[in-house]
Amino acid sequence: MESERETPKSERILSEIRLFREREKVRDVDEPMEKMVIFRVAGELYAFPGRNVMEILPAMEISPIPGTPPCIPGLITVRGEIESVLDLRSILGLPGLSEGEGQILLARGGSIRSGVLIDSVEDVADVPLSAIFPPPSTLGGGAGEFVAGRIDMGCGNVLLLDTDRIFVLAAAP
Amino acid sequence: MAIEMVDSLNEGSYPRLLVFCAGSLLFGADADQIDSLDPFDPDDPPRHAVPFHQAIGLGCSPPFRFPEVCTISRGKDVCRLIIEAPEDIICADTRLLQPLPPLVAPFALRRGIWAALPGKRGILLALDPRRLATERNLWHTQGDIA
Repeated sequence: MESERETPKSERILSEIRLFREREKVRDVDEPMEKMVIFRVAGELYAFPGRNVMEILPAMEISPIPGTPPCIPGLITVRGEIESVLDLRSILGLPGLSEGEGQILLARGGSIRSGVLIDSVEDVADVPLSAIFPPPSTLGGGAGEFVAGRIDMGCGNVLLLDTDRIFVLAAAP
Repeated sequence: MAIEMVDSLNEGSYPRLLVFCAGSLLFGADADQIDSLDPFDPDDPPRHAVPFHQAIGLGCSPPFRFPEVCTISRGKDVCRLIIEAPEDIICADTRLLQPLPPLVAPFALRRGIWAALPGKRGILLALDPRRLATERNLWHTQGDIA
């Protein structure tokens, strides 16, 4: 039987639970995170690592260049500097034309910098590294070779794209 | 043509570009490579003259408003391109001419496009006509053309 001075068992258990939860909170804060730019192309969600995205640009006129493949629709001018533009929909082999006017991510992969035409930016989020998993084994088609991982966003999955690989392959004439 | 592209103080050291339109695109061909510009006579078209659209791979050529025949040569070889009447000759400021981005350069160089110049009317594509003729196999010997 518990004495009157002794802490009730239920209280001890509650304390342990609170302590455990506090430790969990601390661990959450310390968990390494990576900033991700999450965007939509052809109705699907994709992400680039934030460190690879320099700027999110509004829709702007793209000046076509004769001789470039369909995945390179042309050039844009960003504050007086000429930048190339890649059409991610074309690179990933996704059907249809770009929806609306689209947005352009000014991104870098390896030593290459280029605009990347997407449909719309959905979010810029800090993602815990524990939420990043290897690419789905079922992933095939044109997109498969450019996917570096899968991000579990709780409400669904986002495919993490390998910017280095995209840019290197696009640059191969 | 955009005045900011011109630097009249030091014209000799800057490339002179013959500016003309092809569809919605603006080109600046190296004027020093051009032997002559002559009005295009549809009733007596010069032999082997190629519409610029076709030469550079822009697809079907829209109707020309004021077509002219641009002749370039390399030794005994001649290339004739039908272009829209040039708008201007500018001296491009080399400080404003920009190399093409690495994703675009290898493809563009195969069409003789070697640099870009941002301006008020959009991006002007600097063109090396001899390189275009070589890459696209547009040279003909003088005897063939005469």
